[in-house]
Amino acid sequence: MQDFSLKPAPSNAQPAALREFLTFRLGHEDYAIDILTVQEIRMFESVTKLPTTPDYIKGVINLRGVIAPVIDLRVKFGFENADYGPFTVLVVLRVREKLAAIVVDAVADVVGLTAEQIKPAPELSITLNIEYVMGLGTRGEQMLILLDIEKLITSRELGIFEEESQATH
Amino acid sequence: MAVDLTRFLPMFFEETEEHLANMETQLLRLDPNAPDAEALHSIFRAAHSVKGNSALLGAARFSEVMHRIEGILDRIRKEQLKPETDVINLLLEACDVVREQGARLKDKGECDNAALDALYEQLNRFGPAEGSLHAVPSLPPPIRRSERFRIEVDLPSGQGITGLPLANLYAELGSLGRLEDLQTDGVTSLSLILLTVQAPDSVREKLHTLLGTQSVRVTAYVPPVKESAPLAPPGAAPASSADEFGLFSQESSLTQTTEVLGERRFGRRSADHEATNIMGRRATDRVQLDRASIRVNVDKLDRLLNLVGELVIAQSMLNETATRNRAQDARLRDSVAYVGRQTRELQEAVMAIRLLPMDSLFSRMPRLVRDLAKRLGKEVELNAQGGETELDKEMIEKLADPIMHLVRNSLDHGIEAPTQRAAAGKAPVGKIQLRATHQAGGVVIEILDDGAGFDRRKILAKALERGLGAHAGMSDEEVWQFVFAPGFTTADEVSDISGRGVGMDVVKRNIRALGGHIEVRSRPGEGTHIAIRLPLTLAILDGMSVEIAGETFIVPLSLIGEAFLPQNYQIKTITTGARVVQVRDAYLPLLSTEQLLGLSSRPASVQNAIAIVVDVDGRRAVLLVDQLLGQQQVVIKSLESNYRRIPGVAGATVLGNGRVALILDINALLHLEAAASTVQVAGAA
Repeated sequence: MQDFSLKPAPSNAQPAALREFLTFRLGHEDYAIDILTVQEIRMFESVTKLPTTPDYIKGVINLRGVIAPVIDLRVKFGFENADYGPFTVLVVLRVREKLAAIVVDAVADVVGLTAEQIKPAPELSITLNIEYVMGLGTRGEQMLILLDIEKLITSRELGIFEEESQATH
Repeated sequence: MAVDLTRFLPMFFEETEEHLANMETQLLRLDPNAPDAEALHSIFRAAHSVKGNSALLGAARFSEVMHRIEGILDRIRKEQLKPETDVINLLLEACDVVREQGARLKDKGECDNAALDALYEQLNRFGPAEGSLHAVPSLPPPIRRSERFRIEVDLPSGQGITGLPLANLYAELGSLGRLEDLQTDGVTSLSLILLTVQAPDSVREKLHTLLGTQSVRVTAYVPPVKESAPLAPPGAAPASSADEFGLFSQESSLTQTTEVLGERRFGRRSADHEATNIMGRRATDRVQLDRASIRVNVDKLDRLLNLVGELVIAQSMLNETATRNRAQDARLRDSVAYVGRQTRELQEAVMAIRLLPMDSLFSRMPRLVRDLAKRLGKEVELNAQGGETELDKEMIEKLADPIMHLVRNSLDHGIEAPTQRAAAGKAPVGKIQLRATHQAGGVVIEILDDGAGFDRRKILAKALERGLGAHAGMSDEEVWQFVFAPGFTTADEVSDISGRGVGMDVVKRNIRALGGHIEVRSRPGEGTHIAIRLPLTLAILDGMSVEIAGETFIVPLSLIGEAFLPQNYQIKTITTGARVVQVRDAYLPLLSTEQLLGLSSRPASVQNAIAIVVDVDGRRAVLLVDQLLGQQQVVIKSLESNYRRIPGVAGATVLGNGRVALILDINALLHLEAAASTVQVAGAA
C-alpha cells in the first residue's frame, strides 16, 4: 500500500494513475467511494432521531461538538436488511465543507484503481440511480460499484442540505 | 516590483469604517463655542489616517476629500473657523459620502466619482483652496528650490519600529515631497532623506505633530555624491522608474506621487521589511485606538467557543463516570471537581470575549436623532445610560436595526413639535432615553420618550378597520399589541421616515429571533416606554430537558409558565379534533408534540404525562411530556451547518452523555399546530 500516492496522479500518466477508494458492503453489494471524501470511520453509535425526516435519515450524532446527520443508504437503496450488527460502522464524509455520516454494513479495504480498472456502469441492474455511479471497478473477481458520493450526498433527491437559494431566511 | 495592493483593501475598509465612526462620534460631541482641542486632534488624526491609507492604495479621490476635511479641521483648530452647525453637518455628510462610496468601491470595485467631486466642491466652501492636493502647496512659492533634509527619528524604546505610525508617516512624507532613502536598525533609530520644496519649519511642524517633538530631528542634508544622483537605497531595484518620481521637474501631481511612493514603498523593500511594516502599522493603529485591544477574526472566536463547549461536555462525561464508579479515591474526586470548576470558568471567560459594550450600538444613535430631529423640526435631547452593559456581539449587530427603528418611531410619532409641547405644558425639548441594564441573567434595553404616547383611539380604530379582532373593551396592553401587526400604521401620511407600516412587526420578529421579547407601556401625553428583554448570549440557553416518547428535548426555560399533572377531565376534544386543556379558568390548546414531531402517531396519553404551559408573547399552549429531566444551561448548536432546517426545531445541543438533544422551537410548533388543525377542519368539512 505504501506505493500508492495519496494525490491523484497527473492525468497524462494514464497507466499509473491510481485513485484510492474506500470499499464497504451494503447488503450483498460492494461499494467504493473516493477516499478523499472520507474524514473518519466510527463505530455505530445511537443517534438522536430527527422529526419529520425521511426514513433513511437516521438522525444526528455529535462529532466532537458538530452535529452531523446520519444517512442509512441501505434504506435509501431499498435493501431488505438494514440491521445494525457488530460490523455496522459509520463513515463520516466531508462533502463541500459539510459533514455527514453514512451507515454501512462493513468497511472492507482501501483499494487503488487505475483508469483501466474502472468501467462505465451499464444502465441496469443497480438499485440506485445511475447518475450517482461513477463506474464499476474490478478487483480480481470482485466488482465494486463506485459511488459518486459527493453528488449523492448533495443531491436534491436525498435532500440533506438546503438548497443555496433557501439559505436566506 | 508590482505588489498587489488589493490584498490590503479589506484592512483598509475596516480601518476606514472605524476612523469614520470615530470622527462622527467626536464631531457630534464638539461644542461650537469651545471646541475641545483633544477632540479636534482626534478627528484630525482619523481623517488623516483615512487620507494616508487611501493615498497609499491609489484611491486618489478619497484622499483629496479627506485632505479638504483636514483643511477645514485645521482651520477650526487654528480658530479661523467656528464649528457651527452647518460646518459640522457638512463634515458629517462628508463622512457619509466617504463611507457610502467606500462601500461601493468595496462591493463593485468602483465608486461614484461625481458624488465625491460634488462633496469636494462643497468642502471647498469652507476654507481656501490652500494646501489643495491638486495644486502644489502655495505656502512656499513653487519656484522654491527643492532641498534635502535628513530626518532622524528616535524609535520608542521597547517597541522599536513597530511603535511608529508608519503608514501615517509615509503618507505625510508623501505629501511633503519625495522620500529618497530610509535606513533603520529597527530598534533605536530611523533615518530618512526627504527631497522637498517645503520650508524646514513646516516639515518640522508636520513631523512634530505626527511623532511628537522629542524624538524628531530635521537637519539639512547635502548628499555626498552629485546633487542629481538619487541615493540608492540599500537593496534598491534599478531606478528605472526614477523619472516618475521627478515631482518638480514634471507636471505630475502630488497625488500621483503619493501613490507611486506608496507602491515604491512596498515594491522596493524586501518581504521581511514589508512584513515588519504591516505589523508596525497594525501595532500603531492599535496604540492609537486602544492600547489593550486586539482585533480577532470572529471565526477564531467561534472555534474557541466550540472547543470549550466540547471541553464542558467532556468534563461532564468524566464527572458522570467518576460519580458512577463511586470513586473511592478522594484525590480523583477532588481532581474531577477541580477540572469542573476550571472548565466552567474557562467557558465563562471565553463567552465574555464575545461580549461587547452596548455603547457600540448606542453611539450610533446621536447621529440618527440629530439628523432626524432636524428634518422633523423637533428638538430632542438624547440620553444613553448603561452603555457599558455587555451583550453578545452578534446580538448587538442584530439589534442595531430594531433599536434604530424604535428610536426613529419615538422621534417621529412620540415626541411632539416644540409648539405642541409648549401648549401641553411640557418643556419644548423632548427627551429620549436609552437604557441598558442587567436583569435576571439577561439584558434589558429600554427606549423611553416623554412624547405624546400611543393614541389608543386611533390604534383601535385602525385595528377595527383592518379587521384585527379589536373591540373597545380591550386593555391598553392588548391594544398596544396591534402596533406589532404586519403592515400596521396609524400615520396618516407616509413619509420616508416612518408610517409605511413596515417595521414594528419586523422589530418584534427580529427580537424574538434573538430569543428576546418586547414590552410596551404607554400613557397618553406622558410618553412611551419600550423594553426589550434579551438573553445574555445567543450561544447559551437556559433550558428544561424533557422526555417525549423516549427522546430528550430541550424547552427554553423562558417560555415555560408552569408545569402540572393533568387530570383526564381537564382535557377536552373539540369537534375539529383539536384538543384543549383546561388550566384554571382558561382553555389552552394542547400541542400534540408527538405528532408534530413525527415521534408517534397515537395522541399523547394523559396518563402519567406532565403538562407544561408555554407562553410565547402571550400565546399560551400546553405541551405534554413524559418526564421532566432537569433544568440546565445548554450550548446551542446549529443543525443547519450540516443539515437542513427542521420545522419545530430551533437547534440542537450536546448533553452530558455526549448525545445530541433537539431544542424545541415552541413558536414554530404553535404555528404547526394551528396549521394542522386547520387542515383537519378542512378535511372534516
